[in-house]
Amino acid sequence: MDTKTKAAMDQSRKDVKKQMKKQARKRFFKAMFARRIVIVGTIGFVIILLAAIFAPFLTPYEPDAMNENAQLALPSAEHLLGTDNFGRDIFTRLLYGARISLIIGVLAVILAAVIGIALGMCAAYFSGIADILIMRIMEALNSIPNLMLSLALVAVFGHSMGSLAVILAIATVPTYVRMTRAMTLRVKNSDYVKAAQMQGAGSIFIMVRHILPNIMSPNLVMMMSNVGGTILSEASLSFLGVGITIPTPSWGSMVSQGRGYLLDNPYISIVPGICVAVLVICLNMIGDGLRDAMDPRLSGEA
Amino acid sequence: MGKYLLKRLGQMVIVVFVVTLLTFFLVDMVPGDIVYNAAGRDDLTQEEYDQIYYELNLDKSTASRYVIWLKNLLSGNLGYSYVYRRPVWDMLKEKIPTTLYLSFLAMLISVPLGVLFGSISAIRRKKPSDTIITLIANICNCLPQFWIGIMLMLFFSFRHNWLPSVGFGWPARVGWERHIKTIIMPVICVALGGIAGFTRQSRSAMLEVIRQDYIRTARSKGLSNAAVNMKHMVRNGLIPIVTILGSRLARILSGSMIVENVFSIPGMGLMAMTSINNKDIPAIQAIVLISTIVACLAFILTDVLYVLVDPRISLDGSAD
Repeated sequence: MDTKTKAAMDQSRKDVKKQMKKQARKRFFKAMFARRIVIVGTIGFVIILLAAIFAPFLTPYEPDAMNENAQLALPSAEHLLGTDNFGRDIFTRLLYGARISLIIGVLAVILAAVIGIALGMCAAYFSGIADILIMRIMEALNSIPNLMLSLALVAVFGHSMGSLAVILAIATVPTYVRMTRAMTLRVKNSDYVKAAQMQGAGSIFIMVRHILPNIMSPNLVMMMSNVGGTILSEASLSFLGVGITIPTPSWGSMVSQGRGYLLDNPYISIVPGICVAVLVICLNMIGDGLRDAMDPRLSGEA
Repeated sequence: MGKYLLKRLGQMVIVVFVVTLLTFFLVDMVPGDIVYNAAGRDDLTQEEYDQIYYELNLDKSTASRYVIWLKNLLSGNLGYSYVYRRPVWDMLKEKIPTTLYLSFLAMLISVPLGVLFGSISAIRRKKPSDTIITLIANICNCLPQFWIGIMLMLFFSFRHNWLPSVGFGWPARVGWERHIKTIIMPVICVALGGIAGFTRQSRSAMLEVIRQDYIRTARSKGLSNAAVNMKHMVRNGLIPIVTILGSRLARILSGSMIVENVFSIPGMGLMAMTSINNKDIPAIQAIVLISTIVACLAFILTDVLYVLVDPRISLDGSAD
């Protein structure tokens, strides 16, 4: 066999691999978007995402610009959803509020997953004292009702965007730890992990290179399905007045602010609540689609 | 059973101990000078300041303050509220019944309705009634509770003036009519999320049961649809519902927090908010601790309930 044919074979092998990858991706998307509702959710989410990103181009107003001449104005061509008691444009604040919800929701979920997966892998991989310590603390965290925990944490860490993300993350960490630990225990004794151990690979290397890829997909599904819930929690905290500090528009605090003006302009409260619900529903639908596509039990049957 | 319960209670003691550690050291980190918080005013003389400083044992280390706090806790002393100048336990005694009452009423509505809707949805799978129920349940699950409360208020109190928006009172003080009027909206508000949750859970549980062999056997035996549905499906489908019932019970003290805030109901949720806003440290610690203990008890109760509804499971883990 001369080099030419070898090169050709390599090339064709590469092509086949590429083809297979392409097919796998196709299958993935087909499974994910098999149900029409997932497509609807994705479209809805993309619209909200675009609205949040391009907020400055979609509205002539600033979210914090007060207008003394147009306080509590009802919806009109000038102010699509009217204005609040400071004369700030509700539609504008809604667009900017989407940013807060999305950023905090995504940030909190990523933080929770990173911390949870790391702790879960450590607990399962090192077992013994580390396992007991981590799992007991997680159990304790898990038994404190989420909202209580978040409130107590807000009292300590304050209201900034970063600390809110951390606070919301802490409440969901235990679920990731538990799932990751269970899966790591299953993977830990497989031949490839043992082989790596015998080659003298370090624990962290094994966890990142060999264990992590095998436990990632259920964690991704969980992350996706947690984003909606986290956004709801953020809205609740803002509503209670312990979320993002007031002048920054957040959907939860907008609902709370509109409470006092329900008879003047009810849209101040009505619309942000609907926005939270729509965003959460869309995210949940995408989460369902991702589960359909990634859950090994379901895809095994199909 | 007794042995199992003892074991679980032992585990619970450990969990609660860890929670006391977490809450104490966490809440201890609350920024600001505790002395001024405790005094409730800023214009303290040096002597007053010192007096409070030593009363709160601030001269000792955090660890030794924790030990003192834990000792007091074990002797039933939850501390002394900075804001209300009363023992925290006395306040909790007033607030807890209100919250429990609200949560239980909501649960009383949401469990049967949720199971009913879920069963209908599962039996009529893929028919219009299933689609509608599932859709509504999914939407209700995503609607923020506080928003539902405000919408109810907007419609029933402001637009039509049928129900008062605030002013909850016990029947002994305000009379039954007013009591019922003030409790309707909060209960609906708490129950709605529960109904949605129970509907979704019982639907999937029933669908799981429908696929079982014994359902097919019962049908091929010639039993009527109603008999199969009631006797075989609903009873077996109820088992997984115990799980969600447990998680609802676990949040019995904290689940109505938002609703209490919307409708100004003087329960534990409202107390939690005021203590957080005022940095009332002993109150925060007590509230977190009590709600956690209740949650732990709910988890244990769930396990026991499981055995009661499903004879296949035994508590010592020797399932057949």
